[in-house]
Amino acid sequence: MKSFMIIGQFVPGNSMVHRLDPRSKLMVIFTFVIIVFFANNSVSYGWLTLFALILILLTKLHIGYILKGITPVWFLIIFTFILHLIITKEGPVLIDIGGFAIHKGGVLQGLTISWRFFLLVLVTSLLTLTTSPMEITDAIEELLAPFKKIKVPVHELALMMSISLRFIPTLLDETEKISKAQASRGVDLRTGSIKDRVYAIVPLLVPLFISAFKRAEDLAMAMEARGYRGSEGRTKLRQLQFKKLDYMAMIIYLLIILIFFSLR
Amino acid sequence: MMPAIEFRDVYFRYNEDAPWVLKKFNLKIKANETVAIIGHNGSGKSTIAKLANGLLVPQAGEILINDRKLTTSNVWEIRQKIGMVFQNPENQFVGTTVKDDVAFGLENRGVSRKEMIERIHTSLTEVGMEDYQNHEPHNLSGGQKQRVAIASVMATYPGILLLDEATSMLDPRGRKEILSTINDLKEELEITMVMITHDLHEITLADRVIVMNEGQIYIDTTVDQLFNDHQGLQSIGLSLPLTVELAIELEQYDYQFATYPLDNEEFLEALWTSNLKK
Amino acid sequence: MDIQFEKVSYTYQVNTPFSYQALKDINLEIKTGEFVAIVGHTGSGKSTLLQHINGLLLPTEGRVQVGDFLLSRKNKRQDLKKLREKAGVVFQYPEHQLFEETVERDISFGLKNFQVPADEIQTRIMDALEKVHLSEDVLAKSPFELSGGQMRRVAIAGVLAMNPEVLILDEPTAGLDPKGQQDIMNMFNHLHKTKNMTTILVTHQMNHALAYADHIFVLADGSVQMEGTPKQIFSQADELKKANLDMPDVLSLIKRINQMFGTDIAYERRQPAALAKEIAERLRENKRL
Repeated sequence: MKSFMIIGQFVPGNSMVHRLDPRSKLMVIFTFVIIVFFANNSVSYGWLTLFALILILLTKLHIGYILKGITPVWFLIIFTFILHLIITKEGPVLIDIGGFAIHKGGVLQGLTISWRFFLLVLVTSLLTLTTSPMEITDAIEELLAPFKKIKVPVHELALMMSISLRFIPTLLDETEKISKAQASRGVDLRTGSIKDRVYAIVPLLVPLFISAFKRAEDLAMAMEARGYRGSEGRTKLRQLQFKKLDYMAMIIYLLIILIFFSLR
Repeated sequence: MMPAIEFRDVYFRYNEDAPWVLKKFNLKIKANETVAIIGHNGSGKSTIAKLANGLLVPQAGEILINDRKLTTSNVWEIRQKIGMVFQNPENQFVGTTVKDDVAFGLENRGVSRKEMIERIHTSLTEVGMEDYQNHEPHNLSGGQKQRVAIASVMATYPGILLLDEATSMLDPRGRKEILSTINDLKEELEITMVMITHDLHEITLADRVIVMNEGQIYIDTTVDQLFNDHQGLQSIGLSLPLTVELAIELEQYDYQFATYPLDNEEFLEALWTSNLKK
Repeated sequence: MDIQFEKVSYTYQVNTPFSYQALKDINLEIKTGEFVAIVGHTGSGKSTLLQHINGLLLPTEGRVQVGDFLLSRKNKRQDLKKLREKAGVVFQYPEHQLFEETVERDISFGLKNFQVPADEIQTRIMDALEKVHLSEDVLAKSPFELSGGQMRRVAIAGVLAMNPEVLILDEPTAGLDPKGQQDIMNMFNHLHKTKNMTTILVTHQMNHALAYADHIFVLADGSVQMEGTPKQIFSQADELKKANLDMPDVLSLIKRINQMFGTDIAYERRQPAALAKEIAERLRENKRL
């Protein structure tokens, strides 16, 4: 029973975007992040925005929910806008408030940069909203597999990631439970001086660490008992497979990129 | 028949300053036997399970599994034959979903993917969790997680199953689920089962009961005979089940009980017979 | 402190796809000095309910009155610390909340937070230690070198030291062996009887609800499904089954005896010795007839 929410928390579903192979989604996001920086006029921005909108529609998620999910980032987006408004001194002056001028170039620069930022966050959050953390881990493990040759412990990293993901809900529950227990003993994290509040975290952190260590110990023992000795000779249940949908999506995405570059 | 598990003069303690948890401990468990090991907390009962599959190493003495001495060089091989279910349902769930958790032990053994899928299906069906393949652990109850833990172990076809207080953290419903699962396994498969427990209902599933006290065997007996020495059991900190307590009290009123009854129906039957004779 | 729930509903994660209603229109009343059991299966909402009593959760709808404190959505700004001093909660596995270097410091932790005068702290600690049957020599020890059972007692002492008027117990016997369970429950019952402490036991152990509670609330799917004295509740076996709960062992045994021998033995909270005497007498009467 968690009363809080994580940004871009996975919402299970069966939309086309949900069903795509996580590797396809990762590759799309990765390239999109780069491509956004090549947008240089309103038409190319519009094209990318249209792409993002269609993606949102395809996820079948509520747009209000997606926007709410990126609430913490709004502050940064607005901050970026204002920063450019202030420091860019190009083009004709639009408003002059007591010697402090806002230039047209500043507005344009602010808009484009913050819009770029907004698109980045929006599309990336679509990845985590439609892909379970485990799928992302699988995709990373697969995509990084070639690096095994140069002794990068890809399997171990992926296992660590999956176990961390597995225990996030457990630890969140535990945090909530212990903070409630300490609140019942009169700990108050909301009021008091900063020093008081920092001290108030100790009764939360110590039990959390103790319990996390205990869990780690138990888990290590359980894994050993079930015969885990590293990646050697291990088979895998989880296997990713590109489907027709993925090939289609890739072709369409490629077309979108080509059109984008022609619009620049 | 050769014993499935044998302890020969085993000594164990957690560190050099600590008292001995097991002292000159000897134990033989026959193949396909179901044994319950009980004792109050700190009696050394949990240590036995961890020693048996090499998670702990004794300071002195020998441990034999299927007549083979457990050593550091063969521990991984021997461990393949021993499945273990721990106390805390949360801390032994390795996979991100039910299916992945059952797969974990199979992946470690290099089982092919095709066979893995079959075995996952079969073992989840055995414990009644086949509809939960894609569930994540935080959406499962404690009893369901423990059933998955049993399935994970059973999928690797162990000859020996060690249950280390597997029901102690569960609610009554979860406990019932696990007990019926254990009972089914016992009836359907040829398997050696060791249940470390303080739950009376688990004890009644056993062929043999071993009571531990201060690192040694206090009594080694059958379920029927267990409570004959009820004073002794109470003196080492074990409490008696209600039916046994009532039977002991009723003896003062000249009711006779051939064996102390462990459940209601046994109690009623004995009371009925004894009442007729009076 | 009387406790009253009026049309209380609580929903987790309101306005998200994960929203989940844990309590639905709860009405209940607990009088000062009562021993009340709130029973229900895992997920029935009993933990959510208990967190409303000391203001850890505020109702999404409705209101909770605890003594002078009114808890509702509209009444967010008030000093809940005062309430929490008076309504002590022993959470499930309370030993997980221990963190101090010594037992003494851990027990006094709550006292310091609630600004108990320094000269009073020592007596409070000794008092609490006695209540949980621990000896003085644990005080200087680290709580983490104690046994599991002792750690739990230390954590309970930390709550009792606050001298709460209401004691809320969330599955206080979880994970203990039968003997340990009995000891802990007898300890709480003794406190209730001698200090007249209002005690609210949240549990799925029907045996404990039967043995100690004056009044029982049965929760199922976030609603109060039944309420009444143990006698009233446990005479409705079918209703209880609907809430996925069992009959207490002793009652199902007595019921079977009565069926088999045509007797009408009642439980009346008798210990095994007294119950055996009753059984023997009734069976003898039966024979004479």
